[in-house]
Amino acid sequence: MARIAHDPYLIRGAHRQAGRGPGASLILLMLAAVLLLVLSRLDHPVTRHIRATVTEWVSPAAAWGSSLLGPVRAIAAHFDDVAALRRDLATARAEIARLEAADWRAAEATRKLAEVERLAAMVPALGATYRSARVLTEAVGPFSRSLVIDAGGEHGLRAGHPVVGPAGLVGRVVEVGARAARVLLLTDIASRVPVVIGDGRARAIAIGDNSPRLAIGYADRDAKMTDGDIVATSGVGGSFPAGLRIGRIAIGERDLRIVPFADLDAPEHVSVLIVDPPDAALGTADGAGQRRRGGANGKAG
Amino acid sequence: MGSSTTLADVFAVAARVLARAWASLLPALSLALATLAAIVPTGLGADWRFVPALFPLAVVHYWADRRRNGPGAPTLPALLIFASGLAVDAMTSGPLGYWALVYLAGAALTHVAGTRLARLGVSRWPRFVAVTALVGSLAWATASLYFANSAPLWPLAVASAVVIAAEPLIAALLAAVTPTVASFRPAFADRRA
Repeated sequence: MARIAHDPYLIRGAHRQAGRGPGASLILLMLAAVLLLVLSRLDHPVTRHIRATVTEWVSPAAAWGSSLLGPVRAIAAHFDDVAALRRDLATARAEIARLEAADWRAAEATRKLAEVERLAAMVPALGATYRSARVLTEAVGPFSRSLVIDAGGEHGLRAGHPVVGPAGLVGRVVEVGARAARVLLLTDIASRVPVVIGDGRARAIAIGDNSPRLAIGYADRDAKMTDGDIVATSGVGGSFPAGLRIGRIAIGERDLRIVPFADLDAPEHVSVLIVDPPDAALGTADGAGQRRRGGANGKAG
Repeated sequence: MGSSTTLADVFAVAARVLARAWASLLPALSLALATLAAIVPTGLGADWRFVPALFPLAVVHYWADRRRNGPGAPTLPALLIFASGLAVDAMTSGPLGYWALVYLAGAALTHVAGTRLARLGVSRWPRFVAVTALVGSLAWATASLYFANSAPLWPLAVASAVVIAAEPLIAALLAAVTPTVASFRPAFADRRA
């Protein structure tokens, strides 16, 4: 404001020309511009000549300005890059979200595949044929521990067939339908499995009581059991093949318990060992072939 | 004055002559720079391509607006405005005469509408807004007529908005580099005395 206040142009000439219109030259040049536009529209050779001449005159200055404005262009390019990067980032984030979902699905599929592969690798080692099945439902309540699988009589299943998971014994078939069967889990209160424990091969009965861990009953009085001893089926009674891994001894404050290897809470796939007759021994550890219809758990289907 | 003239007075007069020469060159120089900025490739996107081309309009408006201050005020010759527009037309491969017409129309509208608005007490920036709106409309209409098709309005609107927003800065910059003649006025006053 101080500058304007002292501006002699403003002081001396204030409003002297106010009201004066544009000069004649301005109007004439506007008409010339319009004429050039018309000629340009008609692609008249004169316009080409003018364009070439002006370009020739201005180009050196434009080249100089272009080099001078290099940093400005770099800044503009930088902002363009930033905008492009923001778009790329949004796309990448969406892609990451999609890939994370795909990764989760792949991990899940890999896990299931590994489970099935372990299952497939375990069962042939026993020298028995088997039928893998998907778990349809599980009845894990206060009164029972059982599963329903999507294989049944049509697939060769019969009551009494042992059922194993990737990590070890799961239970045995107790009811068979045409395309489904019920499996009694080791932890069911009615489950009884003859076992051998640890390197000392102490014999006992693994007893289900609807808790996640199995109780040990009928063990030899002099049996030596330590924490972490492996528990496997003994084959006694012929209900289960000998050597099926069941779990590991866990010494509690008041008693010994067996922690099952198999995931009995939420198994997804199991294999049914096809032996005929179902309760026939598969090379039992001690050769005992005693048949006991209804199996060790006493719930023949 | 006579024998009382000192070396300091000579330097002062020389400085004032230089300042006046600079003041008279400044409009052309500023327009040349704005034109240069309009023709050099900036790498801007399609929506922004009119922005540099409208910067000379702000310069034209500034000097045309100052012209109202009196016959001694630095002015932009119409021929320079025309040449500036022609250079932009030629270098941007646009229709020859298009930007020349737009810039000249800006100068003319500043003279006519700007003066009337100034009489109503409207300050410079709102006057520029009004002039830019009118010139932008003219530019759009001219382009539509030239191509016999409705020209895209958005790039012109964006450019107008950007130049309107930048005008106070351009005006302040030009005002800052314009020498005030008031500083050397007393010396001439002395001579007149």
